[in-house]
Amino acid sequence: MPHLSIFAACEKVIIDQAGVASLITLFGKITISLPPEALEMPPNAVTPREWTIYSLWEWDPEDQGKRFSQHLEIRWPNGTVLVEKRDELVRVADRRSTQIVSPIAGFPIGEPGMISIHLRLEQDETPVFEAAPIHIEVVHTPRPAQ
Amino acid sequence: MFPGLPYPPRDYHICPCCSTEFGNDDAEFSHIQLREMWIGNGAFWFFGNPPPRWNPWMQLFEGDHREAVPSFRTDLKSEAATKVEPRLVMTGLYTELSAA
Repeated sequence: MPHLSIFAACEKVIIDQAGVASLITLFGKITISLPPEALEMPPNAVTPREWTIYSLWEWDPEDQGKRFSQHLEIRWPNGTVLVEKRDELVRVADRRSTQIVSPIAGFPIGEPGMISIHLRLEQDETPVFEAAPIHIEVVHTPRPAQ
Repeated sequence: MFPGLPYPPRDYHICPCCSTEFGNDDAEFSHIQLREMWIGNGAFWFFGNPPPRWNPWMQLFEGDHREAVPSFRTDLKSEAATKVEPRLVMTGLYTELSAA
């Protein structure tokens, strides 16, 4: 079974020509500054800001010929699912690892609290591993009137 | 456009997401105008219960209408959850950083 070596949420991932990844601005806490007129922001608000979830899987020799996929979920602080993504883990012959870059088109800002990102590995659509979730704290702060 | 329309977007069929009646509402307004009106009224689901995990803003992103999603006039700033303070450790030639 492949082993999860890196699981991170960040602003951007740059992959160079050799396939080496650089993770830019790892997310830990997101502060949303709200002007008074933004108080009508709905709790399901997602702002148009791209970000990325990155995972790196290391293969075992005995994984040859087996089918694995990763399943990602981004959950609101109340636990409901906002985004669900499934990607096949494709093993390239001369590589001992596989990296998956999952771009997300918008960032959930409507509900303050802990956004969680859940990742599990499935073999033939049966869960075989679940990673410790990533938590991103979303804080709303009022922006002083100008 | 809602990707799960049960009928083609014509012949007076009504979109369960935004309530557009195709052939009637879009005879009077463009699809861009209808989308703006739907967003301006809160981008609520129109008929029955929305599909599981439905989010109007993600639907717009996925439908390649990123420009239509309001920014809600917010500023978004990313901060580290871990505070990193430079700490000089004199161990020969090395300088280390510690994370608190």
